Amino acid sequence: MTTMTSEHSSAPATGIRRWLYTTNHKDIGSMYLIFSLVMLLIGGSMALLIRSELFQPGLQLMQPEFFNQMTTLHGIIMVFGAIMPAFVGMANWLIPMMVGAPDMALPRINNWSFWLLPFAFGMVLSTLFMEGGAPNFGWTFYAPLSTTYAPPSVTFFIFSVHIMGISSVMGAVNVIATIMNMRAPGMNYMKMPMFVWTWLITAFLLLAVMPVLAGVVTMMLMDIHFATSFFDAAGGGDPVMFQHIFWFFGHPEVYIMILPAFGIVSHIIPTFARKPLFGYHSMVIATSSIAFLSFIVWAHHMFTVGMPLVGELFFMYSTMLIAVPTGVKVFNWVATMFRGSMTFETPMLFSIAFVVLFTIGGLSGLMLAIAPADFQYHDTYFVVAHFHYVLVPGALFSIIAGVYFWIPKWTGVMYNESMGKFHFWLSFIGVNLTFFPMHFIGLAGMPRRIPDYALQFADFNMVASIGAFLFGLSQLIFVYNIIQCIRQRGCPASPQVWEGAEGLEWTVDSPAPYHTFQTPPNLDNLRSPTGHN
Amino acid sequence: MKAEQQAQRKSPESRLLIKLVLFPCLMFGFGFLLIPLYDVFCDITGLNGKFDLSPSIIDTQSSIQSDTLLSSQQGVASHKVILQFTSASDQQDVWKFQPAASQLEVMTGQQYKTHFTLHNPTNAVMEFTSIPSISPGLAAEYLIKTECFCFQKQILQAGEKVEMPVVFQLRNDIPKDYKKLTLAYRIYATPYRSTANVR
Amino acid sequence: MESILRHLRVSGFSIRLLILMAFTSFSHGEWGLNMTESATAIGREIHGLHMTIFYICVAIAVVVFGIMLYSIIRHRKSLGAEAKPFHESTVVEIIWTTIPLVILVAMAIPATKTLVAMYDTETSDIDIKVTGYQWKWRYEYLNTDVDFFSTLTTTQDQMQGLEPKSENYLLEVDKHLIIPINKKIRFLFTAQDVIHSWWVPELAVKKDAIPGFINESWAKVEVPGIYRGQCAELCGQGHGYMPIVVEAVSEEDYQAWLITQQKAQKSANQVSKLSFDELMAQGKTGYDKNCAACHQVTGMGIPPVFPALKGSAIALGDIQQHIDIVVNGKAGSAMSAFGEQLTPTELAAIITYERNAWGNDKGDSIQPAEIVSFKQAQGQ
Repeated sequence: MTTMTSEHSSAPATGIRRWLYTTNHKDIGSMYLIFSLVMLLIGGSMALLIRSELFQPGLQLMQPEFFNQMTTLHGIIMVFGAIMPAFVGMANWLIPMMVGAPDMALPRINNWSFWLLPFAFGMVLSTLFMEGGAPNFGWTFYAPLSTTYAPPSVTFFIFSVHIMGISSVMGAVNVIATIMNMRAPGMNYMKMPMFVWTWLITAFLLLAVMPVLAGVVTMMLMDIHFATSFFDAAGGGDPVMFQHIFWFFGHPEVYIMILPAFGIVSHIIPTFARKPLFGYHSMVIATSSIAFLSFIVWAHHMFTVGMPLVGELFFMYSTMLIAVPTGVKVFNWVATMFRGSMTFETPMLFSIAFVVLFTIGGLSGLMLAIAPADFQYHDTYFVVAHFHYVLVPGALFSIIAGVYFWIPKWTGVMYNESMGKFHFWLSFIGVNLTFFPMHFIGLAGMPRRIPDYALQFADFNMVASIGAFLFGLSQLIFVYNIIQCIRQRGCPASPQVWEGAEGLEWTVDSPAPYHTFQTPPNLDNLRSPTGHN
Repeated sequence: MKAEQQAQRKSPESRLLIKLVLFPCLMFGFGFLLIPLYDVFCDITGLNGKFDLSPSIIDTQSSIQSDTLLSSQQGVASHKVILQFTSASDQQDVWKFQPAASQLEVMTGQQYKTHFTLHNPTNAVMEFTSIPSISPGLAAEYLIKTECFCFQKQILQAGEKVEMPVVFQLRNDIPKDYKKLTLAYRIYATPYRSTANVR
Repeated sequence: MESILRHLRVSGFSIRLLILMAFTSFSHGEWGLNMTESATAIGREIHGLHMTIFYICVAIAVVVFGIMLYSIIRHRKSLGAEAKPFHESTVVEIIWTTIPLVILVAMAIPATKTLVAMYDTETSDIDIKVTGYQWKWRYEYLNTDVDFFSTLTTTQDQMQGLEPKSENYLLEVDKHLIIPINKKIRFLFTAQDVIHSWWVPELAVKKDAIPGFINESWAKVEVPGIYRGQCAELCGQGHGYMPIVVEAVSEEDYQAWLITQQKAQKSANQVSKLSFDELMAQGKTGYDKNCAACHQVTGMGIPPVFPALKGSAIALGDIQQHIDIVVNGKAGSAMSAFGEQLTPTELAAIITYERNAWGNDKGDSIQPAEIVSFKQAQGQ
């Protein structure tokens, strides 16, 4: 046997080589998180451009053509560049530690999954400088606007969607393989932390629907370049079929963007209530039910497309049904808080706001599910209000809460609590000021995706734009707080960090060593998330 | 021996990985399978107002039975339905694609013939595809077309004017709810095998 | 400090809810909070359903947030509360699964009833085919000769802030869709190019217009008036600029309008000789309405997607080529075939204007009769 060191040095490499070649789940997690933060700021800037144009009636800043590019890119960047990679980053950091594994199952694929993203988004952002401009057909890119009538950059859009999809699918394979194969002995499925559960289910959703997205953009590519007629009536195709295939992906996609959020909040609330999560088994069943149901509701995005009565009724009923398991989860969080011993540090503030504001988004979703009423809501700002409530004070707040919660573990430094609370209050006010009025203007009759509007919508649009700037700028406080932690400017954090925190990640040092659980941990002293020992 | 066996048998981890990689590949194929599935579903249920673009055969053997046979078998009386015809094209005043009759009162179970006019005023041979669509969409399964210009591409010589027939009947068992139907044709013109710019 | 802020937040939230409930009857005015009232029976039914579901949602929110608020105030470590470690109860889970299910069934019943009513199949009195174009609507009254385009009339100057905005800014068109009250109007929807969607809130009609296929909807308007709506599906850069104006009038007024409209349709293609100044004046109006959205009022366009006409080879070149591109459009580009959308008079005036405005000063002009012979030469 040749003499060689059987393990590589336990310290990370230095310089750019470290980040390019790392297979360490902590490094990769950090890269995903930083990438998603940058994407959040870019997508957010586009939102501010949009809200600036919509501040008053009239065209002040940009042509309608460019406005459509902004709304399209804002959607693509936020969905695929900010929210999804942020959850993947947290998965990378936390899943191995939470299950007692030394790393993810496929470390080199993990690296590649990450590095595909800057490449894909570089391509997307470069379309702004191409002739004909960036994609301008909405992030939902309905045909034939996105095929026959699209600018040349659509082909780059399709390629980058393929690349993002490959990244997501490889990441999902990695997550499932890690969770199924690498749990420490004694950690059976019903002892896994909720974040791990929600990610396991999310990963299966990703495997099921990202390829369908790849299929539909491939069909687009073929229609545009290879004279096929998937979505062109002239050749025997059907534009409505595009919508069916897209939303078959699209609806599970939005659950992909929220299930990990449910997982995060299911860690934070028990910690700060100093009580185990209420109804662990029920939470697992509810999450699985949401995932199953998410496959049979897609045409609620298409109630006005001309479906027969039977179709409309089916999708109305199935969509209403999803409210049940979602409601069960909300009740379980409230029951976790109830009769607890709560303190309200920043992660808890964001998590409570999540429960309240996500519920509002969910209730407006229930209103949208009522098909006859949806004829008046569809494609208006009422829908914009709904999905921004579930995505911004929903998914994004949960990510922010998770960052505040775990950053002491990741960096070894406690963030600045006063700054965190200040960030919270500004964000809370900002987010409500921005999106609550959108319910009103939607009901009053303002359609989506318009760069200019009739005078009766002016007042609330102005309020929303002010709120948007407040919300957007207050994220800089968050960025500063994070940077200070990374630069080690703050109080050192203990391994436990939070009094009520439970889980394997809190048994290692803060910052977590570069390699953790190289031998499986002993679970005897670990409190099960179910509350039983 | 044991090492051999172990080398041949994949580990549970590898088997899982194979399944995890296979599943998305199958789902990619599923995305494409949705195309024919969509058509099958629409054909069976008549959803989306789409038509099977092939002639229906009416005879005693086929499942689509003639009016008299159906009426006598099921005692379903023939009733009146208003059938409207409307046309669209990318340049209406060029192709002059019009229905001969914009509205007909038809009795179910009886065969009717009408036609559409089309004109190719250019000096090139043109090829026309027409796409039919009916509203309400679910009525599509009750409209039997034995002859329709929509079944194949129509080729018109330079300057040619044609009358394109449609022979159809409405099945007797069409629900009485469907009192008025609108049949729309959209025509698409392309040069026939010619690279010359038509205009 | 923390507790005060927290109280403020949660109670501020409840106050907002209460204000919302108090104002739900408001639907006019600039700070409008609620869905518009409807001029049709089915629209009123939809509005009522919307309010019912809304109140149920508010009730659910009040209960859930109320319990949270109570818990936040009372179950705090700073008050000395100690955590009671209960963490599961199958009975409770069953209860709070069943109760929402029951509430949902209760919601689904009126929702189903209203949806079924929307699929009403009573024979209509009038059928109107609505075709969405980029970026205007076309209305054809089936079984009549009435067939016209309806285009936005709000000027570019208003949009750029050079003129004060009119009361119906972005919601005004040159030709209203006139319908009689108390008659069932059946609408058939299709599109010429991409997917559009026809929406008039006060009629509670919204239906996608799909290229190559037809959809239908219907309305029976009970109250005479003018009802404004907008396109509700992203269809390109003019998506926000293709409004709908429906005018519901008495049966007599409708019949009278029908007659004048049919006469106007016949005379639309009639031509007379126009002076250069008349051509330029009408041309400017026509250009601003139909061409300026892309080619801009200044004629500068937004190159490369929308070419400049000022100093362009086409506007200064062969007049037949100029007519051709305006009448027949340009395949593969956003330039529509305006030949079927505009009368020969409008076309002649616009082309004349384009050749002479912005310093182009070509000096030539074209008469409507020449447009007619151009189309005839093409076999039209």
